[in-house]
This record gives sequence, C-alpha cells and structure tokens, in this order.
Amino acid sequence: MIIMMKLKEMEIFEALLDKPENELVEKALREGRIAIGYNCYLVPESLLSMGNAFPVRLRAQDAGGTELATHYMSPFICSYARSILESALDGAYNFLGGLVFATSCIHITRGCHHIQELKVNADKQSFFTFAIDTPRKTSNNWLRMMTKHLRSAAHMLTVHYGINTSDEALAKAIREHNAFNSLLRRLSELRKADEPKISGTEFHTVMVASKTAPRDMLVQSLKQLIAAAERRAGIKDYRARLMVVGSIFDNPKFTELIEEQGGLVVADRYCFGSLPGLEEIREDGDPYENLARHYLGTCECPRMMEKLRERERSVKKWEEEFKADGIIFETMKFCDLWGYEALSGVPKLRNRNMPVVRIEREYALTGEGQLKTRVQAFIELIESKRLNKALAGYRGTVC
Amino acid sequence: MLKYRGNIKDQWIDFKYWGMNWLSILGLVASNPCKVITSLFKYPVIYHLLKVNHLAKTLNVDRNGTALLLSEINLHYFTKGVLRQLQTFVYGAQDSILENSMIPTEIYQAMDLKVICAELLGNLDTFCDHRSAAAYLDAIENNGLPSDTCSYTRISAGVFASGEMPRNVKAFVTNNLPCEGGLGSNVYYADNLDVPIYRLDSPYYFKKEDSLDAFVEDIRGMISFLEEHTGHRMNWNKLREVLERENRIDELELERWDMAASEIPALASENIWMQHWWHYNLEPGHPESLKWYNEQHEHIKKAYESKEPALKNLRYRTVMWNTPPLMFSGFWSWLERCWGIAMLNDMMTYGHFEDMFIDTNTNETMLKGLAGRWCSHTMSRHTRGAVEDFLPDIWQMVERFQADFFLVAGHIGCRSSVAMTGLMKEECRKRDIPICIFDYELLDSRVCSRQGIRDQINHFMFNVMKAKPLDENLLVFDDAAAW
Repeated sequence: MIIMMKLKEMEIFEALLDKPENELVEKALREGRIAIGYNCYLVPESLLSMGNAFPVRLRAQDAGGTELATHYMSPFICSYARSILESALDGAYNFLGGLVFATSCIHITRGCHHIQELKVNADKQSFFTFAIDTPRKTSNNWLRMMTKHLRSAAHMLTVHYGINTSDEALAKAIREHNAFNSLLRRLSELRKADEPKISGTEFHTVMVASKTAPRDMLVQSLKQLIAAAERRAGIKDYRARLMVVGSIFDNPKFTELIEEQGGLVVADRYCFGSLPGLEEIREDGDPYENLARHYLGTCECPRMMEKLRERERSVKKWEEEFKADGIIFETMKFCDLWGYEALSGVPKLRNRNMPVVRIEREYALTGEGQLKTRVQAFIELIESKRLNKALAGYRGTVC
Repeated sequence: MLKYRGNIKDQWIDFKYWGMNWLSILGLVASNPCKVITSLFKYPVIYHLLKVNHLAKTLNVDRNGTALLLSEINLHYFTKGVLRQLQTFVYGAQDSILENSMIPTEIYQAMDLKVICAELLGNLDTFCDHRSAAAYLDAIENNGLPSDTCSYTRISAGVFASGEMPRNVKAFVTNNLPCEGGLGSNVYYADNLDVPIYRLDSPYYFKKEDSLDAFVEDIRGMISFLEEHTGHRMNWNKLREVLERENRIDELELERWDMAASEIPALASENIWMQHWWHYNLEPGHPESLKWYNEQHEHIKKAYESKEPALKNLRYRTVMWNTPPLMFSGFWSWLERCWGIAMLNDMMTYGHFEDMFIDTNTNETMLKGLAGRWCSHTMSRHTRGAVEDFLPDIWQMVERFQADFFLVAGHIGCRSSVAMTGLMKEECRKRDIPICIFDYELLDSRVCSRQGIRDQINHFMFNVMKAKPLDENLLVFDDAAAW
C-alpha cells in the first residue's frame, strides 16, 4: 500500500465528487450562472464556458441502482449510460440549464434520447438538449460538418440564455481553457518522476473535479495544490508503476483500490483522464474550426475509425514518458468499441512484453474483492518479470 | 427427400426449384471442379451453403400455392446471388474488393468491380444450418472478443480469424455500420489486412443538409480511392442504369407492400424480408434483382387479384421490429402453422421509399440520392438511428399493415434497439397496441434456444392475445439438433 502525507489542499477537490450538484456548482447557480451538462470528450468544454455558462460533465456515481433505467434501456446497455439516465430520472440533474451531447457511442446517445423523450427538466422553460453529430473521421468534409454543428450548439446558448457566442467570446473561453489546462499539465508532470509527488488517486480526483465544477472557481485551489505537491517528498514505496487504459473511468476510488495494492497509477489514458485532454487548443483563426479540429484530432476513443495505429503509438509514447511497468486495460461491460479495441490491442501489448491485465467492469465500484485479487496478482506478475529480468544475466548460484 | 405437398402443381414447383438450385451449384462446380474442391477445403465456410435446399424445406413446411412459389423463387435467386459471390472465392480474390455491409454497392456495379461482402457467408451459413455458427463465434471469443457483442459482426470476425475469408484482395472498403460492433469489427479487419483501406463514415443526423453533404463527399472519396487502387474507372452512365433499375424496384416494392397490407395479404413472412434484404443491401439495381422482382410481382399480383391469401389459416397480422432470428430459419413457418400469424412487414424492410427515388439527371443528383438512400437504410435509420425516426416508423408500420400486435425480436446484442425497449413498451401501452418482445441472440442458439423463442411467443399468445394454437403439437418440440 502506498503511504503518503495527505494534502489538505486536496479536500476541496474531493468534496466536489459526491454529487453532480456540488458545492461550487451551487455557488455558481446562486450567482446566476447556467450549468450545461455534457457527456463526452468530444463536446468541447470551452464551447460551454462562454458568458455565464459553465460545463458539467455527467457522472452518476451516486446513482445507487439502475432499476428504472434498466426498464427503459434493458440490462444489455453499458451501466454508465444507465446510471446517467437513472440519475436524470431521479432529478439529480435538475440544476442543469441544458444538455449538449455527442453521438459518440450508441449507449450514451440512447441515454440522452431518453432524457429528451421522457422530458427530464421539461418544466424548466429554457432547458434545451442538443446533439452534436460527431464524425469518426478527421477529413475536411467531416471537419466542416462538425464546425457547423458546434456553431449550432452555441446558437442554442444564445437562443435560450442570450449568451454571446461570437468568435471573440469563444476565443476568450479557449484562452481560459488553455490556461487552466497548463496548470493541470504542471500537476501531471509531477507523475513522471521516479518518486512522483502526486498519487494516481489524487490526480484522478483533480481531473474529475475539474470537469464537474466551474473551472474558474478552481484556479486558486489548483495553484495551491501544485505548490503543496511540489513541496512534499515523492512516493517511494510503490511496487509497480501502472498505466490505466480504457473507457469511462470517473471514480477515483477505483484508482485508490489499485494503489492500495501497491501499484502507482502514473498514466491515465481513459475518458475523464488527461491522456489525451490537456493539449493546448489553437488560439488564432476560426475558434469553432479550431475546436472541431482539436477534438477530432486528439480524440483517442476507438470510435475514431482511422486511428488505431495512432492510438497504439500514443499508448507506447505515454508508457515510456510515464515509465509504466504495466497496463491495466479496463473496459465497460457491453461496450462493443472497447471490446474490439481490446481484441486488437491487448495481444499487441503482450507481444512486446508489456505486462497487461484486462478487466471488464461495471460503472459502479462493485466486485472489489475480485478486483483487488486481480490487481495484486498482476503486480506480482510485474515483480516476478522484473526479477527474472534481473536474474537473466546472473550465472552463479542464488544461495 | 421431398415430401408430397398434396397436389401435383406444388410438388412440381418444389421439385423444379430443388433441381434448379442443384443445377446452379453444379454449374459452378463444373466450371472448374478442381478449383471448387480446393476452395471448399480452403474456405470450409462455403460448405454449409450447400444446404440451401434444406433451407427451402424448412421455410416451406405445409406451404402451398403462391406462397410456396414465391419462397422457391426467392431461394433460387438467392442461391444464384450467393454463387456470384462465391465465384470470387473460387477464381481468386486478388482482383476483388473486400467490403463490409451497408456500403453503396451501386458504385461497385458502376465500376465493374468484383466484391466479397465480409458479413455474408457467416450469417447465411447460420440461416442454412444454425449449428455452423458456434465454431466461428467461439473462434473469435477465444481471441478475446466479449461474447455479448452482436453476433452479426462477431461471426464474420470469427470467419476472418479462422482464415476463411480471402485476404489477398485489392482493397478493403469499410464503414461505421450497422452498429458499433460493425465499426469495431471493421477496425479489426483493417488491422489484419495489408491492403489499401477506405473508411466510409455514415452520419447520424443525415437529415441535416451539412451532414448529408459531408457524406456525399465521403462517397466521392470512396470512388477516387477505388479508381486509384483497382484501375477501374467510374462509369456514370452505368450508375444511371443501375439507379433507374433501383427506382423501378422501389415502385414494385411499394406495390408489394400495398398487397401485403390488404385485407387478404397476398404475401407475408420471410417472402417479404428475404428479397428486400438481398436487393437493398447486396445487389441493389442489379439486372438480376429487377428480373427477380418482376418475376415475383407477376405471381403476387395474380394472388392478390384472385384473393389468394399468403396463409391458409390467417388469424393474426403482425409486423416485426429488429433483425429476424437467423438461427431459427423455421421461425416464420412456425408462426404460421402454430398460431396463424402473418408477418406483413419488418424493420429490415420498412423504409420511406416513396421519398427515396433517385434523380438520375446529373452525377451530382445521383450521388446525393445514393447518400440519402444509404443513410436511410434500416440499420442506419432505425437500429442505431435517431429517436425521431425510430419510434414514428414503428407506429406507421403498425397502422399501415393493420397489425393486431407488434412483435419485437429482442436481439440482445443489438444495443441500439434494446436500449429503446422501455419507450416502445410505454408507447404501445398508450396506443393500446399489444407488444410481444422475445429475447434471443441473432446467430447463437446456445444463448436462447429456438424453443426459448417459441416459449416467449406462446406465453404472449396465450396470456395477452388469449389465442388458441392451430396446432398444439407445435407449442413445444425438440429441434435443438435440427438444421
């Protein structure tokens, strides 16, 4: 188990994860700001950060069960989509002023269709839903289409809330987004050291919190956290450095469970993670086109048809940058896209001698005992490989 | 053996098409026996297709008259169509294109290209003999693919993984359809093929002009890609001919529907689905397609005018949503014989073809028409499609065909459709339409057996429709080991 001094600067971030309408969201709403929900990496946060709007990425860790959602969507749909719908039906997103969703995968698309059809928040006069048709290719024709759809989504903010969505307004939102991400990058860099100054759980918490609360309200806290993290001693007592690769992963308790077994999560290549997610968006030129180009270009979801090789290269690059000893390949049950990605990807990782464990899981943290055992066994495997490698050149007797 | 059908005319039809199917198959064998036999060893997946005459027997138990004739014609043209594809297997795939389903195949015809559809054989095999599926499904699961993925694409990936799909093709054209399983499997093929690849991206909200424009440009990109990598040129006049035939088929299709929707339906069941599936997916606008439609149309019209029903004991009219159970080829026959149910349309068939006639005046209008048409295909428009199309199309279909109840084939691997289960149920309740959802797996009878399907429908018919079966012996019987 990894032991390190708890930073009091983390408390504010941790407190934001319990429910969608967290303390900072409440504060922003009291100030007359408008929360806009979104469901995917491909919905640009800056688009929803213009004027007095702010984005809230949909999470549903507090959903409990998914009985109603399962009635509507059947048990064969990914439990993330069902949990989101359950929370919506329970009124957990009543505070939202609108929902912009991407047609990224059929599970979350259908979940959002239900939010529309079941008229969630319909009693709020200005509430709107908008779907961005997100292409799976990055060629110019699709880029143009996505740019137009982003403009249409922004237009909804103008129509429903009178928000200025001009190019200048968006360019400003992009600059602020880039500035915030540069802070997150500084924090992220701390994970690369041999003795990292931030744990995977802490970084995961900050990443999730930054997507579920107005970012401008987090700037000072983030700066304080970076300063505190830089001051403290690094982590030495880990057994292996791990990279988590996979689909939606928005509960830092999963990361905590992994780290409790002695594996330090140094790289987060998953939805809600930072790989990708912290790259700078171009600030000159047409800001809507820049957003479309940026998000289609950086998206590493298996839905992007042409980018398998690129995804493989990215994993290799991050694995080296963050000095990962092994990869936890996590996929959501019933996610076809990640199922096929694992079919292609996992054997290739094994072929180049990268230890990898594949975990198919539900959205909620369940089956902890089994998960712990698998992670423990995986870490032991990495250790034994390391030992074998060390002994490989040894020709004498051991005792 | 052919069972006596009770009259000489039907017996002759049965025998005639039985013989013609074998002759067609032997025609391919005779063209080069050595190559055919070698191909059978190289691609054992072909073997199960030899069971086509058994499929005719399964589909046509106790059928007579026009219904029998239509089914036999269907299967014969089906056989010929499959043989056209198999020729590519036998005579070498090096000049052909490997493609996934739901790509505008009119382009291949206009460019005179030979094509192998990756999904065809695994799925047809199961339709001919459901026991053939297990080997391929297991093969890909053993490679690491989750067993809950849609078997339509999973079996094809299994055939591919087993080395029974030609890889020495000129190029691979793929897309993001019919579902995410399809998209994922295409990435898997692409990863394992060392040939040039073109990926076609079908938009979600295709009714938006800018989405459709982007798709038109994508199709244009596909044409340039094919010209570059195959040496074949696009022949726009040939495309016009194909599309004009396709427009004519649309007219015939709509007339067929009117005849199926009438008080005494002149055609029903898989006779509606099978023909549509082939023409609208694999060989739209092909000369053989129009010939097939014309030949059938004549017989359907006669039956309609003489008020000959498609079923001897018609008790209930229904329409079906989602993909039909390919692992249970006797499904329609069982519905007819056990309960007197006529399936008058289905999701795979239904579409708004009255709005889809393609303007063949210019190359531009042809491309735009093609793009709109393929975006409106059932798996694009319905299965994974926008809720604005999904639900209204159901109610239109129920009303148009005067269905007594609505049947939903709840293929558990079809995420997009099962995700709409609750809304469908609630809307049916509001509209007072009885709904029967039977859960099953498209190709894998180990997940839900054929009797499992029958049990679910029996339960609905007894308890909701308060019906009495036409033949109690057909309520429960063991056909697990049957083809």
